[in-house]
Amino acid sequence: MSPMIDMVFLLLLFFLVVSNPKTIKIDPDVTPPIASAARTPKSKYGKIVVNIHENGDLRAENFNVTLDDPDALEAYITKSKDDAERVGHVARLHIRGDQNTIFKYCRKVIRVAARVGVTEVAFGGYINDK
Amino acid sequence: MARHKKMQSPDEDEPGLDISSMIDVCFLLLIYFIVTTTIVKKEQDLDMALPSVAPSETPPEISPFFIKLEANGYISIRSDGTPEQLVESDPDSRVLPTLQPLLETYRDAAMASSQEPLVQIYVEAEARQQRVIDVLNSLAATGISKVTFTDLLDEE
Repeated sequence: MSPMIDMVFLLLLFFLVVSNPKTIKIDPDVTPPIASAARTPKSKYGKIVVNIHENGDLRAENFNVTLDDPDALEAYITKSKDDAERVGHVARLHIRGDQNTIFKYCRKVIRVAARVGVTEVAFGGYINDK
Repeated sequence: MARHKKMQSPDEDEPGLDISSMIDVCFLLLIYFIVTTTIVKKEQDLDMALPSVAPSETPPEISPFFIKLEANGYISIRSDGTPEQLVESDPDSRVLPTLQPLLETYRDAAMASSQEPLVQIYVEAEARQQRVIDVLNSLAATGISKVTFTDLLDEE
């Protein structure tokens, strides 16, 4: 029995060491749109997540941080871009817009991101409504 | 005094390890996690490369395909100097059966001339996000990722 337990602990240690701990926090107040052609993202690194609520509230990946102030939005995107590029990742704007919000809020975010040099944009969505 | 050496079987020499308690705990943990786990819907990405938000000094080699999305969800197109034509008028439909073949034709024409298809989208400010994603979804399904939002420089 003891060799088996040894092996199990070794395997556990191996997977703990090699696992990829990066996770994207999901704002529960945002229901992304349906996009059947959406694909699994190539990398989770370099993502600059902006949540857009139905009423137009903008939140960072940590959805307790509001980004309604344009200066705060620009500072957040700039800092996230610098952090990503410092470790060799390509900064990519990830918009999690609620399916019922209107496009002007989304445009506001894209405009600020483009101004600070982020031109790769990904829109979050579900591939079906189930 | 006679000494009687008692013969011990090999089984009695090895210390035993009772793992039934550990198995009980493991099953309890397993049941706990099965009961408390909520399956989260997995989100996917629609990737777009925005070439630029500033007006380009060098015009694109290929005439861009122009898509206009109105606030009521209507979608119109214009390509190669043709007049604007309404192609989709059902804002609740997630598929765009008229726009999709037109995009495929445009993509094939661009590929035939060894150029990358370029799409310009004008979206009215009050258009729903889901409708914008419907258009981007059609572009992704067609394999077009070079997209420009033409109104990015406008003030709100």
